[in-house]
Amino acid sequence: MKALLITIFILFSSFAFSQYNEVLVLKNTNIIRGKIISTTEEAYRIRTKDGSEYVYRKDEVDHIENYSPNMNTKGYFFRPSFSIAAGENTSLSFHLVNGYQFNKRFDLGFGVGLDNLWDAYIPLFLEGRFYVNPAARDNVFLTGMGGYEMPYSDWERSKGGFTTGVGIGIQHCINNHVGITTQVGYRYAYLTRTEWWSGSIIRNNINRVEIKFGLNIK
Amino acid sequence: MKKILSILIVAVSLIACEDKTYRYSTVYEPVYTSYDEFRSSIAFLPAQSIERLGGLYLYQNYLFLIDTDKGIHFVDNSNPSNPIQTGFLNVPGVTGIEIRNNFMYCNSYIDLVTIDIAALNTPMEVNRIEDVFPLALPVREANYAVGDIDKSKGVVTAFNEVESKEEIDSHTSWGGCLTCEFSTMQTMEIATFDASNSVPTSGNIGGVSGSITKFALVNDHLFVYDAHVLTPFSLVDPTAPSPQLGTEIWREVETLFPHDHYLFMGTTTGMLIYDVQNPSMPTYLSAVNHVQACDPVVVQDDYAYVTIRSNSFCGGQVNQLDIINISDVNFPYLERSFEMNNPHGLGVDGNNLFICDGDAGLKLFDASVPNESGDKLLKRFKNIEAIDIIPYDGHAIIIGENGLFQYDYTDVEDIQLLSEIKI
Repeated sequence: MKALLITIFILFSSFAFSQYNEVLVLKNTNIIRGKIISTTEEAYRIRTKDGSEYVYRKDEVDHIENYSPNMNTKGYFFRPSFSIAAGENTSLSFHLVNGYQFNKRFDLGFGVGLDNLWDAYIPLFLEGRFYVNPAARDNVFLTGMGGYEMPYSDWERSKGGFTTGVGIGIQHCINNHVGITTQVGYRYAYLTRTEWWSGSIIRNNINRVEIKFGLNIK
Repeated sequence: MKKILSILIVAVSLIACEDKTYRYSTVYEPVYTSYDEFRSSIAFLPAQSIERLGGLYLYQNYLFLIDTDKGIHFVDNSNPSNPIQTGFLNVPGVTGIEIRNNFMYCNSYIDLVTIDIAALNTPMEVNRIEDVFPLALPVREANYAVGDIDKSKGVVTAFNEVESKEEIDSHTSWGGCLTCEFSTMQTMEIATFDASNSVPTSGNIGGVSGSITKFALVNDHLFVYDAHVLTPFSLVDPTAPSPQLGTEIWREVETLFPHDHYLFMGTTTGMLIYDVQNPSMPTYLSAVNHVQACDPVVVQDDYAYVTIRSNSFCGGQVNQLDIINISDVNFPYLERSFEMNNPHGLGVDGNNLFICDGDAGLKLFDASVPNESGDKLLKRFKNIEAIDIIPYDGHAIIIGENGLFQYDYTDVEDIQLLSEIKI
């Protein structure tokens, strides 16, 4: 419920801020973001989102452009996501990834979550992204992950195992701090368990097509 | 066109994403002995060292110790302070015995054999019912699967352990016990005995057996459980038991305990009560269920004492003593449960309830009030890691991993070790 409210708030804020998506780029390199409410032969009147209004002479303005949010800058990020993985069986996952974006193209994070694969597992993994068009508002990215599926319960018999995945996705930047991501990919897990009644080792190779939805928060 | 292509790509992807599940296991590969060799192998030999105690039976002044799958040690117990091993009866595949009127009935893998023990120094095979336990197999140390059996090659008398890999259904359930067959649960467990383990008829001389045995005597019938079938054998002619139609029991029975004309069965999922007044048609009366576990049972008067033990064979997570009221055998009910460590066999003699509680040792409880017995620990013998016990008239006969031990408990405050035969 909390997550839903946060999402609604973000989307609402995004709509509200989208009213102020014009940018005056001044010759002195300053930029003013807001809504141009009037234009005369000599000047522009612009209202910023805090309600203030400013007037700039046209000879002070270098050019006008539309604001395009972009998140691909250095810094820490936090990515919650939810995925449905389908194949011979269907499984659900919820992941949280914390990490750092090193430059406009690469980031890497550590993730934890809950995977309902063969049984319930807690995945501990590294996840990285490569942004193909980092300057755009809608970033296409390639992603990969790998790590250990830790058993959620029955540690005596369930040994967990290795998991990895690759995918391609798109991130829509709502603003410079929040993006919505959608991705599709392939997920693999190699899980081991001991049968309680026979002592036999059971190894399961899990193959899934995964569709993931998430947020990227900076 | 693009839509169709997309749908096709997704469909092919999903179909291609099959899970592959493999079982890596040790499998018991059968080792055969020809029928002729197998059926000519019973012989009485000089006393031998005990290898793997699987059960015991008290008959008059003799103790019979079952060396699982190998044979029966004869022990002259006229003086419990000085038991003397007098010989060893080689019986391949033996896991249980019953004795009446000097005739010993025992299984030998797939056969039921009658031994005349009137002369204890020269026991003689007098009868054999062939292939009456067609699914019997050697007792296994582990619950591995058994490979395909070709009965034309002979009797399975041993196993080789081989490694295997097989693809299995990825939806495999983790419940259940796919290879829990007759002989599986006989592993290293021993029965507990009540002073009236067999129900005698007038004029017959019977013995005292253990609670984990799958043999029971009721009146003129011997009952043997094997591979989900309870088979009655008429002993009207004691030299030639006559098998009757078996009754299917779809639980994993570990122990039979006769009481009046009822059979109490300890199974891995509960205690069953069958009426065997008409021996050729055992009739199910009632059950008291419990979680998956090993479950020997003994009965005295209106109470059944059931120990529930968890292990790799039986599964489960529970170790406890259950006191079940059986005053109405049609409606038995659990009165009390008491937590235990890892209870194996048990035995009750009057007000004395003995429980072989694994590493916690042998425990003696006051059972004068049955449903309070678990709270009334009288003695605990930490150094006796017993598997099973026959408490009989102030005399406890105990088998454990290390051998046979006998105690005098006529004074429960001063229990005395009488003798021991170590393995």
